[in-house]
Amino acid sequence: MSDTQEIMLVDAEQQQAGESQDLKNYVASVDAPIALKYIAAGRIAQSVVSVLVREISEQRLSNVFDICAVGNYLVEEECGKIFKNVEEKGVANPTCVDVNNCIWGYSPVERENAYVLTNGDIAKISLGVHIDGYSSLVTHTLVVLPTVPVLEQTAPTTGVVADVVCATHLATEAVVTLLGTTLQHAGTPSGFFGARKVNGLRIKEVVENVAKAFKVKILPGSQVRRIKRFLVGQDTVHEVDVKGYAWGALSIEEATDDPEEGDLKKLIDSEAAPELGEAWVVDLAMCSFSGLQADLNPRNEFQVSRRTIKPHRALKPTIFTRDYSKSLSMKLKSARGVLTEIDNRKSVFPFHLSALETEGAPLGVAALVKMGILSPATVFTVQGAPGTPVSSRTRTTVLLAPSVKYGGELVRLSGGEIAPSWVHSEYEITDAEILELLDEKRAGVRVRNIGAVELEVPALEGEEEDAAMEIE
Amino acid sequence: MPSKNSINKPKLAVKQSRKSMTGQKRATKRIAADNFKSRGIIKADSVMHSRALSRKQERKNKRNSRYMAQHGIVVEENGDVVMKIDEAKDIVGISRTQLKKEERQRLFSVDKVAGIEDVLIEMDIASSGAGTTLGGPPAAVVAAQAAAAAQ
Repeated sequence: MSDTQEIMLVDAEQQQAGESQDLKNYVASVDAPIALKYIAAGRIAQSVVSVLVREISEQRLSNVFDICAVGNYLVEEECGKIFKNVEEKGVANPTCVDVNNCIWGYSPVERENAYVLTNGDIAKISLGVHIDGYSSLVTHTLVVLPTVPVLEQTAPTTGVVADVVCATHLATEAVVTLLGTTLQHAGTPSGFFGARKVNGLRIKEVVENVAKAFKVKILPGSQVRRIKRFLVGQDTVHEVDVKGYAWGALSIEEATDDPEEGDLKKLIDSEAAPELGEAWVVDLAMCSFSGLQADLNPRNEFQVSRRTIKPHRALKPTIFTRDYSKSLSMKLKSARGVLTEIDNRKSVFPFHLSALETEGAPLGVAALVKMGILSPATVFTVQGAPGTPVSSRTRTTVLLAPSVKYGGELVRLSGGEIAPSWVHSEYEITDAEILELLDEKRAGVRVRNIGAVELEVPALEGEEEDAAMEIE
Repeated sequence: MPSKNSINKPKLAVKQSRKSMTGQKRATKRIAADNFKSRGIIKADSVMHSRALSRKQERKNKRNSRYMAQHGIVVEENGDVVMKIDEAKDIVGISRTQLKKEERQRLFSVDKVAGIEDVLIEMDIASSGAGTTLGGPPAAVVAAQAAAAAQ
């Protein structure tokens, strides 16, 4: 065989490999096998969040440890019922409840020292589900209100809390509609939206305009990006061809080189347009602004500085991600045990410390973190002077599915049908473009929401003991 | 390596006797041992012969008899197989296949497209110069207010 023939064969193999890789990330229709996995993951995520929101609202769950435990249990339980032949499925993001100025990663391992939600708290419930790597992520912001006496709630929550909740909710809705406008085809009256191309920069513009209207700032780590099979923006994976926009980086490692922008922004292609068959995640976090110029990012006036985000002093990380690029032989027995368990049972997705069954897991995990094999999710808080800022976060996953009848449909996998908390902000959106985006009738976007199903909440250990005591 | 005729080499007869302890013999021995432990009665199928049933065949027979009972299939004395619908047991609940189908449907089906008007109502944004309101009062408040109004 000549050299030329060999090169041609290699090229053909590479091309085939590339095509098969794309096919695994391309949703051909709403009924395609990949779409079914996305939808099943979205259904479970949406159902679990709905259950948690209901239980917290009715004050049946208030300890953050309980909330996280119930969330993780329900996800594992529901995933076990479906796709029996799929090995890799379950938690794509352990349940976290970030309260008030905490913005990421709070999921305690002990009940005794865990935070207990009280009236007026802003709880950001985050979780993720994946089936065969096709994941659906969701975050819902809930303002905890008193239930007794009931008549105390005759008015909505106002002030900065209402401002940040309104801003994140409306910005998310606007971006979802904006992504939906990319589904418009020739012959469909797209009007206003057909004039400008939708890409990361336009998404940035829309989100920043909403933040400006409500006088709040965007937190670093917010991002609107395409997700792929097994790839949802983990710190341990360096992806290529990522579309969307990210407001700075959240992890310390990424922010080392450039404290304000981080490497994340450089990796994301902001000029690429969303296309049919792709899945996107809209993850927006905003906070109230103290008014000090020093707290702002010098390169972007709508974003707070990386300096305002600090790791929590007392809370240690409880969520970890395996860095599969590193493989070392460990001396410590518990570290070896933990590593074997992770390699056998876990995936590239983050996992909770309590999900490990190896004896002496915390010790082993600490050793693995030290060697860089595990990447910890630091518990971050936003701090500013004077006073503590209030933060809100909304995350939703959408699927841009081709449709024979309509050309394309936007399937909102998670975060679609949960009503926002009852809030009233004194500010409102005046920008014509955003108002048009929020008015889905004028945009002509077809949105399919994946609804929640009723799930049975497991009895907690404490509750069982209480019930036993009552009987005695 | 020792030669074929080495005195240290095990003879063929030994191997053969070991190998012969397979299949039917092993099953017979096991079942006989089981029966001895339990009631001392040799289990056998309806036809009299010396064959002992393997565990797999026993499972299959059990499954078949269950299926026959459920569907009212009866083997008559002359050996004819007859289906008697009146004797079929009521299958409690739903079959596993149907249950699986319903479970799949519940989790996989995409909800009906919300009407565009519905979506507008869901969003519930009031922008009339008086600020922005999201959501609404909790269900408990609505119920309490309705009760108060009724009184």
